[in-house]
Amino acid sequence: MPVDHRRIQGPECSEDYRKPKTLDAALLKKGSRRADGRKCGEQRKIFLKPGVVSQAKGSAYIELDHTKVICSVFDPREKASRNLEQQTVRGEIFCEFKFASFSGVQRRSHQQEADDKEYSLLLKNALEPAVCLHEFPNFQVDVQVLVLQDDGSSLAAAITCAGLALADAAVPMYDLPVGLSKAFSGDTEFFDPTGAEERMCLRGVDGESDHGVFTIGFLPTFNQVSQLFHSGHISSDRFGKMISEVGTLAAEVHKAVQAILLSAVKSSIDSSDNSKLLL
Amino acid sequence: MADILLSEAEKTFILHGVRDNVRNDGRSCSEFRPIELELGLVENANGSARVRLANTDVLVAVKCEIDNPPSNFPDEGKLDFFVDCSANATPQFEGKGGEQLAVELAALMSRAYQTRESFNLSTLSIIKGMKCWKLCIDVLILECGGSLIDAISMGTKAALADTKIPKVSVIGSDEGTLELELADEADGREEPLDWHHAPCLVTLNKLEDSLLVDASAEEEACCAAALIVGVSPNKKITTTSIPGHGSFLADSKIFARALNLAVDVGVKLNTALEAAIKKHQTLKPPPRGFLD
Repeated sequence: MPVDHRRIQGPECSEDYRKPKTLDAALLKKGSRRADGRKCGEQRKIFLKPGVVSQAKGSAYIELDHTKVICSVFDPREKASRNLEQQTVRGEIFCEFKFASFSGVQRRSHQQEADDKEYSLLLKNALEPAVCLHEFPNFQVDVQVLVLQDDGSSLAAAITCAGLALADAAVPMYDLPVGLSKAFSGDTEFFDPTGAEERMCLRGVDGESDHGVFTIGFLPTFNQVSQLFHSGHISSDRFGKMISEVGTLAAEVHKAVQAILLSAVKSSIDSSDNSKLLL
Repeated sequence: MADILLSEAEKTFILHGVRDNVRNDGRSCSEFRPIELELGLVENANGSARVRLANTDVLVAVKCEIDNPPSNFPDEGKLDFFVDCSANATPQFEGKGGEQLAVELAALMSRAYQTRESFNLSTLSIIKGMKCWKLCIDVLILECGGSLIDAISMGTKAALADTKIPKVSVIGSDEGTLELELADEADGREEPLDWHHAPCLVTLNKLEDSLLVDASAEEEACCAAALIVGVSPNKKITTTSIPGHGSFLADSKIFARALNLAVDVGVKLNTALEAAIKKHQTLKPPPRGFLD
């Protein structure tokens, strides 16, 4: 990996000084509650706010308890295509996804790491179906996503957050994309998993064959799945069932995001009316 | 993937064919193109395979290194994927042109191999918490003709089947550092890997209501959306992804059909691949060049 010499270098890698937590099934406490007191199918409370970055064309901030993501969207600009052949009829969403160096227990590099690059692509693929790409041929809209704190479901949070930021930037869209994620191990399913639950389900518990984590990008108005990112081990029947279950939950989140956008638009109209009165 | 330009008339021709379940090259929608497999072509690698899927050509080489195990899983080894999109395949890959695709393909492969059910990393451990094997899987794309990830996954599984890691013995320790001795190839003390549960990735391309298996580059250019599914030999799904700017209708029947088709095709692919590898391992072919 190339090193940026202009930056002050941190240690090459860092390790948590605390003992690694045992990733066992003990996360589920008595009465089938999760470690943070939620039920298995319960989502964390969402805090979502548009227009947090004043310099950006559009922006949004999302909090799922300890997962905190900020996203800003900038004006469309011409793609850097070298020749005519590379020019496209469609526009492009350019995503830069980054976990902040202090976002997790282990320190991360300032430069994009492999999973940052992977998540950038997954986010791009999740957002592009929602945007009217034909409205800005050969132009790209930059979407910058920074995960300030990562406690699971960060890709799902980023999809919802970037969707609202795009709408806040008045980028023409078909629908507001919504991201949701689910982790499962054996028969236990965790909706909107925390970091610990995600890690446990990615590896799987001994003796359980089915395990994994998946994130879905949803466009609820048109009932479309724009991204389906899964990693684990599961049979196709059960997976298909889980996808349709999550789909019904997407509509609720979608309504909430719409309400937030509506109130933001209303308040911006109100404030512009006031300024007219002052003039 | 690597885009090619098609006229509307060409697209309509392909579409009309698919509606009647006949494709340009005479296949039905769920058939693969002929697959060629060669093992052990790269002499300096611990294992290698070349897969040719009609016009798609990939070369996969596995090299082993001794490394320190990850601190949170001291009794496991490491598996690293690297994809190189060579500009030989298409001029679009020149310079940094293939970087995005390379990242996408490498990430997909490592996701598919992430579960212990696909590949047991504890077989790569040498001394718990001190030394382990790191397998670097280098994928070189020689030609792009559609269904790239399918070919890469087949090549990877075959290359792992061809890989033999030398036995290691500790001959002493010096101030906390261990001295290791590797067994020679000549000793014959090399061990094959446990590759049988490795997944194959299947790309389903959606054209109207049909799902195309193993699409050619021309067919990929007409399709609205694609779904990549990693299928292990025991009918389990290890990864999924929707690449590009397409989306699927969130209808449980459509998804169930797509996933079942992918699993069906994936299991068949795994069996065929395993049979081909076994056959290849029993007969020793004369050494040949890559391209003949």
